[in-house]
Amino acid sequence: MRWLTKLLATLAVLVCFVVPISADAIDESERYEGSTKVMAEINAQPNYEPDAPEAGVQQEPDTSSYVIDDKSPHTGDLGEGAFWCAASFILLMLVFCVLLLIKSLRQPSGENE
Amino acid sequence: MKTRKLFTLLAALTVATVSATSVYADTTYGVDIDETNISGSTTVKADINGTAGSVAYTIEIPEAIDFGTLENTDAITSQNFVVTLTEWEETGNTSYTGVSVYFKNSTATKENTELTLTTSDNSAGLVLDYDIYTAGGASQLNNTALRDVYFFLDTFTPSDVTTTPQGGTTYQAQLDQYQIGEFLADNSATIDDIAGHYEGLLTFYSMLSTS
Repeated sequence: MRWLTKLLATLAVLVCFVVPISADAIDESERYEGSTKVMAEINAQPNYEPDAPEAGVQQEPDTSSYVIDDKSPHTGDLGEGAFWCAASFILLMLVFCVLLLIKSLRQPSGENE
Repeated sequence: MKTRKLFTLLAALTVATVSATSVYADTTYGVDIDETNISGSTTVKADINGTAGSVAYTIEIPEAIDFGTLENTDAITSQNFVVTLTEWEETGNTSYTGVSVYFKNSTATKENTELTLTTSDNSAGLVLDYDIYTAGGASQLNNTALRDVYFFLDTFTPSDVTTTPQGGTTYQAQLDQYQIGEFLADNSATIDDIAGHYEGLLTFYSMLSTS
């Protein structure tokens, strides 16, 4: 009987201390709760992937801003410089032919006979 | 003999106190509406019996506040939301003049009352903070916790009752995206390291007030 009374007394002391603490922590007489979800998104940076050519479609190289450097083989048009070079050569040949013709005409006609 | 009487008295007191505590706790917490019960918009309902009469009221809070996709900039992104008193019914004479609404982060503690968003999509450990303001960002509301870890939102009176959709009081949630760049710099991380869906839970509670 004595141990029971001791136990009850201990319990009584504990409750006397615990109850005021609980009452202080929840001192609202009436309250009702509800919750709202708050969200945000952070996206990973998209990796750069060049557009893959469609199947069965052969893509032509873009030549709109094509650059030929010194190491590239020069193909296609020779350009303005080559034109003038060829023109000068032909002109020089013409001058040479004219000079030959003049020289042959100046020779005395008796020499041939 | 005297001691035995004293112990008997203490035992009776113990039993009485324990019973009273149970009743008190049940009354205090009332109805909890958590995220699993959200449908459309969350409605917080209460039916309070006063000394001479009773009050039934309904507070409507948003289902979700979505900041959308964040960017690594210095800009503040904001999102408006509305809280509405949609019903107020008094029966008999009551001394209640309105209903006060408070809010907190669902995981708030006395040491940390910040409103936060976290993710489980990565292990970088970025915790995004956001704040609640009055309409137009005029005044910050989560400055000082008034009740335990709760911040005061507003007091709604019977004249505020409206059933018009979005007819209640507008508030603004703000998130400073500067913290993203700050976290990346402090932790030598990349956007890819912190990419993911961030989420938090804002808990509201309402209680009747008297003037």
